[in-house]
Amino acid sequence: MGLKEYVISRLLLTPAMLLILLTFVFILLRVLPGDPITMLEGKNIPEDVLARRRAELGLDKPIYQQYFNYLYSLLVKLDLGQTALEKIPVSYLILTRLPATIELTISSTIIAGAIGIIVGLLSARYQYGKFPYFARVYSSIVYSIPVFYLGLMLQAYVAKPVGLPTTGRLSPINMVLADTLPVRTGFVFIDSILSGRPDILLDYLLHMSLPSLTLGIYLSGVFSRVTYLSVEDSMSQDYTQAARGRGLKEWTVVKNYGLRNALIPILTMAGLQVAALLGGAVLTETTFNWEGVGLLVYEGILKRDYAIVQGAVTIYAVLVTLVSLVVDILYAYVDPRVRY
Amino acid sequence: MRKPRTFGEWCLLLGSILTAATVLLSLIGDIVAPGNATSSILIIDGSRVEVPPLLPPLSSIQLAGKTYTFHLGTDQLGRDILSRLLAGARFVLAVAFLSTAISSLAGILLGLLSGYAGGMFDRVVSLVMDSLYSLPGLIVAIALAALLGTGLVNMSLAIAVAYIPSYFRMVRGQVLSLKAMPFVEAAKIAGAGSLSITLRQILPNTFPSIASLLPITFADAIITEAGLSFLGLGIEPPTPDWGFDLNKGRQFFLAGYWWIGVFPGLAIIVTVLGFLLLGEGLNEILNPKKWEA
Repeated sequence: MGLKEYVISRLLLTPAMLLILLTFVFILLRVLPGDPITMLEGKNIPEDVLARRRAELGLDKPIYQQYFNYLYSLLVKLDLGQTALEKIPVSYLILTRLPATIELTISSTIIAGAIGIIVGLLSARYQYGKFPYFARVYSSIVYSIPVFYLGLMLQAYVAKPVGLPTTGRLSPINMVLADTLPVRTGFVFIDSILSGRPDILLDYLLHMSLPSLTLGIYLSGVFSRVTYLSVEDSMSQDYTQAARGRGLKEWTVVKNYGLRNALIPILTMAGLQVAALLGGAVLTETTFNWEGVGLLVYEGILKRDYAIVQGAVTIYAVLVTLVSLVVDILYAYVDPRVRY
Repeated sequence: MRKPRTFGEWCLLLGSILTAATVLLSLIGDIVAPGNATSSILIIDGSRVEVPPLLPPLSSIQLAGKTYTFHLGTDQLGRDILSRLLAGARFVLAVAFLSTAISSLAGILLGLLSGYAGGMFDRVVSLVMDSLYSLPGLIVAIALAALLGTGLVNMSLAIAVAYIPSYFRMVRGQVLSLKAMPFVEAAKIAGAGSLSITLRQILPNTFPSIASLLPITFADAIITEAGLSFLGLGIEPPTPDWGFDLNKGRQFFLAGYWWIGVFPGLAIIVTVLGFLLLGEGLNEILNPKKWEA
């Protein structure tokens, strides 16, 4: 199978995967015990109000009909329901919040990848010294620090002395200005560059540094562990020994033979970490008031608005499917064996 | 006892010490703490005495003629932080224990059934498990906890669902490879039934992997629990809970009352690290060949 055929067959598979995941989300949210209405309005609401609210949300219909309604309104009308109080479409809320989450996840993946590759390289270079132990201890410690705690510590002991902002994506004035920029994609990074506003860009970068660092460090534990393990594996292969035997410098061997052959497991892992990344983003966004989908989830919990929580879970399922598609295609591009 | 030789043995030793210390402290720690975990009122000889808020660590004050030491200080509501941490530890450990038990039992059972039965059943269960596995664990737990409501059992259930696939995938994979092993063939020829083969030949051989996964799930469950309670999906206040305390105390923490944030956070880190090291050590010793991420 050539690359083109692989990409096409993988694309064709995606709707099926999406359908399975959405079905699963539906089962998780509707079939399991628990009721969105009582969660919303408490357990002591009168029978008739309960019945009316259930009818409003279509919860009185048979379960298969609810299932088709869920899929129909989601896939055909792109409708995720309304918020309980203000009756704002949840899809609109999520759409306006999504860019912030995507910005945060990309920048923190870059940070995590950088830390991971540095740790991996160093432990391959000093394979027989103490460094590999340091790498493993580092990944265990990072893993055991809750993201929000890391965020709070950075706020208290880095942001305050250095003078970095700790809440939001922009300072209040730029928040207003960002809405008047000629280019508006929702991604402040892109908007400020294309509109020629370095001041807004700088403000934005200052705001995003700590949230990205928090989420990046959180992810870097797993990244460095996997990089280290796969670099170590490729360092013990025959071709590495042969390269050494030919008299190449140790760093050249580590970079060109150790790291390069370790890129495939690292890439796979980066794809697998998307789930952890999105979970961590909920906590990071809550800690830093970063106005993404994760903060929306937190607000939904506080307001006891289940439509928001359900909508966000659905969007996460869609995101996970799309990212796994991209990773699989990249993977096939890097490693021809995947294409069979 | 001999000195640990390998990295794995060191991990096991350190992990056991940390874990044992956490569990022991959560059970008997109340001896050193004044005990007002849920309110600022301390009852001394039958009379109610108000404890001042935001006392720094190690402050000793006179209350109703007796000296009380607040080793880790008091929080913004005058509650003793050490007492809260200890009471919180019991809750967190209970949630982690319950959710690990539920997820491992369900995952192992489904994995055994699926791997041994094969066919349509295996395909459907694997599909469901794979889709659950691809979703962020914390998000699944959030969605479920929001539906099920607060409390020990509900929270444990919400967390447990997210970890069932890890056990399922591991056990199913091992069943598939063990099924082809000569000793299973031999048992089959000797006339053993499916049930007997699954329980006697296959299940015991999955124990080493399960044993090293258990502490990891336990550690994961503690982190997820802290995340849920940070988001307000834990237990009803004023019951002590580490994550919830961190969220409620964050303004005070950022305003300079460091002990309000530092100690609950450290409690989470130390507890999780203990179980993590235990898992790492067990994995290295029980499954020496494949040390995987």
